[in-house]
Amino acid sequence: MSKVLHNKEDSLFPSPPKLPHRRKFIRQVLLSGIAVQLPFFFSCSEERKDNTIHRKTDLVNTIQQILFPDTPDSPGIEDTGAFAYFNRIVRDERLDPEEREYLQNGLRWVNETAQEETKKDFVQLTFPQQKQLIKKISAYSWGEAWLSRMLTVIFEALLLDPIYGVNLQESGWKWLGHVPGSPRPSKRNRYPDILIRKEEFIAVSRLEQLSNDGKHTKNK
Amino acid sequence: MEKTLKQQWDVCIVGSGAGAGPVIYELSKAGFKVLVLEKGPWFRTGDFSKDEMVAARRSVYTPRLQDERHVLEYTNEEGNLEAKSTYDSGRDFWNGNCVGGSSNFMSGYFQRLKPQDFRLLSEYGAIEGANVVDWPISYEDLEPYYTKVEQIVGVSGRLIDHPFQEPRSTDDFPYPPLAENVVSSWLDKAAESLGYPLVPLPRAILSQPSGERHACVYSNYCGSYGCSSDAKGSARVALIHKALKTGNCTLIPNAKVYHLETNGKQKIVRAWFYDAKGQKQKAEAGIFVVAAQAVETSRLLLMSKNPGFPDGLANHNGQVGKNLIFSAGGTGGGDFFLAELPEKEAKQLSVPGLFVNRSLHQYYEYRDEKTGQRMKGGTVDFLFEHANPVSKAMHRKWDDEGNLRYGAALKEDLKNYFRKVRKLKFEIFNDWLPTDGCFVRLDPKVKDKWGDPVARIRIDYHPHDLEVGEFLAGQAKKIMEATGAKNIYANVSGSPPPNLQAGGCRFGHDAETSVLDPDCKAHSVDNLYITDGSFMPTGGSVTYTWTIYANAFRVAEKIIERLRK
Ligand SMILES: Cc1cc2nc3c(=O)[nH]c(=O)nc-3n(C[C@H](O)[C@H](O)[C@H](O)COP(=O)(O)OP(=O)(O)OC[C@H]3O[C@@H](n4cnc5c(N)ncnc54)[C@H](O)[C@@H]3O)c2cc1C
Ligand code: SF4
Repeated sequence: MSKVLHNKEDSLFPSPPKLPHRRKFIRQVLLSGIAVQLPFFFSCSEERKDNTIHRKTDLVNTIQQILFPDTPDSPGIEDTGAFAYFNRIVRDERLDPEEREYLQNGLRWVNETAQEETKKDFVQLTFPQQKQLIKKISAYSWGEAWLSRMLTVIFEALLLDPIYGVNLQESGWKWLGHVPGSPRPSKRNRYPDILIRKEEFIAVSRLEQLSNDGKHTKNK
Repeated sequence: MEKTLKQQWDVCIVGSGAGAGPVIYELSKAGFKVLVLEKGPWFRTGDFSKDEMVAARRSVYTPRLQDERHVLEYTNEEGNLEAKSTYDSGRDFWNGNCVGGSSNFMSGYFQRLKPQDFRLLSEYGAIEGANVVDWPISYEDLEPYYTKVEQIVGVSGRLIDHPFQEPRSTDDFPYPPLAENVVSSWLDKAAESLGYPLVPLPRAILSQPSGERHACVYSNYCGSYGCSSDAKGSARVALIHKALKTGNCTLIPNAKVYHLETNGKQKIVRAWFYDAKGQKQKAEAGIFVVAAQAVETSRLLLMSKNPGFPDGLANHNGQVGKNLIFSAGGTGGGDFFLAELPEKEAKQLSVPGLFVNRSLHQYYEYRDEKTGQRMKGGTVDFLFEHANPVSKAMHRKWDDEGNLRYGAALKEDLKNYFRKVRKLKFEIFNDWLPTDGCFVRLDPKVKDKWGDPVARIRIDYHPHDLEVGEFLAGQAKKIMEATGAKNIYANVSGSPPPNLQAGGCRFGHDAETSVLDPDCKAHSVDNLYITDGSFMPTGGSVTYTWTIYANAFRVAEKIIERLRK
């Protein structure tokens, strides 16, 4: 009898895993020649940095395009704002650093796989080749886990409130006939502003007045 | 530097959720000086919105797992014991850490226990491997407090005649039932065709305004979301707001209690807590009440080692943390394809926000087909799939073969799922039998951000739970079939819902086998009461919160009697 834990996912049993949830698989197999390559996104020279940014942009863009392609009568990846959103997530210091690193590492693994398979960087492949490679990667456990995480990012960009710079012109909601709840988030209570204010809530507690040394001042 | 709060309080309460709310309310109203130490921040009604990002995608109402985690220990598929922190698994065990606790985010499905739940052992006999006992109080003892909750917290509903209706001291609910979706009438007809009624499901939601609280606006985002109309009966809105108005209640948010210190004998003298800045503070009071939700309550007692209590406060018999229970059962559902329905019905079915509010009680008790034995069954609640669009989309990630879905196929699937289907779900509730295999202790290694040991939760279930769950799932599926739903499925498992937890400090007459006495005062500590779900030796077959609220009202009366002596 299986006793594996899993979530009950309803209004009573909600706890949907929050983004990003922990990785299950990392890419372990590296061919020796590739393993000594310079890290894909980190480099000392400015020139290399510029190149890297471009390549990273292309890589993320392309992968998102493959996962969520343009199709008729539906928002494309551009309409979701998913690319900028991905960049915000990997820079969001409130999120677990390991998770953010995982999202970034996946990009490197995709490129390493491209090198192993074709001796070329992923961005140098033709679009059909790139699609083929992603298909192949999706069959590896690390690839499936990481691509699934990339899809989560896209789902958030497609369906969260446009206040987050995503779901542009509510295109995702309109496409899927989704009716948002009311009240909608405002600049005051959206993430992470609500958390910043969480620190404000501390200052308004009466604690300082209650403590007997009364020395520290209110942090307004 | 440590600080001591100036004032001496009559009562210091740890936590501010459903278990704490009634005590805060009753004691403040009775004129006693009450201090509430709440670990989380104080969100006001205006801070809540229907933002899936805040409610479900990021740790806002709950701590970040990198800061505070649980360790879950369970038997894996190979039959070995495996321990993983929730940070490592991504499986969050927090429910709501803020003023009002999880009660801000509950859906408010409210059902009373039934008389037989108070005497499970004598009614249905012992079950090998399960620590089933009778409660030291009866349904009749708790009934007046269930009624009090209906009136003070606010419960809406409608009574019908059915064989498992609990005895009541009032004729009806104080608030009429909430508006329902057309699907409720389909369910009624389906059940009728099977020969029994479905019970209208009461909710801790106001259908009409009361005082400063508005009626429900059918926002379509209830469970997991804070309520913007104050219709939901959270402890914050229904009880704490009123307590604060008396001027007798001081509430300190961001105050995480980590130690209850005794005088070396059997009396607590102060509670130690970290304030918002991480500084140690202490508060003194005559009586201490802990209601930090079952797991964290046991954890706090176990952390509070004192002279005479080397294994943790009130843990004279090693029972603190033991017999932890959850709600057993599972979930299931079925699809209605809008194109297959007459246009009018499809339209009615698609109306967002209206409730389903139906529950199956017919099998609260049943006879086992093979043995003919009288069995304790449970309930099944029917509800719509949650409106959260990201979560809905997440469920479409894998195809029927378990392969990742992406590209044009994914888009097509999303479109069909969101636009063409309305999913009706059901949730099965039966007893999670208390066993020696399900308990809380302190993790020997893992610490939270303050350096305190986290709760390590051993999770095990009794196979009997699954047997009953499967039986109920079978009945629920029959109803779903009779409504015409398609793709009907059910999933019964021993997976614990983190939001429905109880036990760990069971109450009883015998100081050797229980932690609390029948008044929920610790047997071995003069001035410690526990008023969250920890006291429950068995959990019944419904959600717990109405019972937690009712019992906390009952214990509040006991504390007032004591203080007045
Ligand atoms: C999404 C969701 C849906 C739900 N739906 C339903 C439903 O439909 N029906 C139902 O009956 N129940 C439902 N519940 C469950 C219900 O919310 C709980 O049963 C109830 O709130 C438990 O009350 P409690 O006092 O034990 O815990 P809580 O209400 O969670 O309160 C505990 C409080 O203690 C605080 N605390 C913890 N540790 C410390 C410490 N060391 N120091 C100070 N403070 C501390 C916490 O921050 C928290 O605020 C739901 C819960 C959730 C999360
Ligand atoms: S308005 Fe009604 S549906 Fe919305 S959160 Fe409040 S109680 Fe729930």
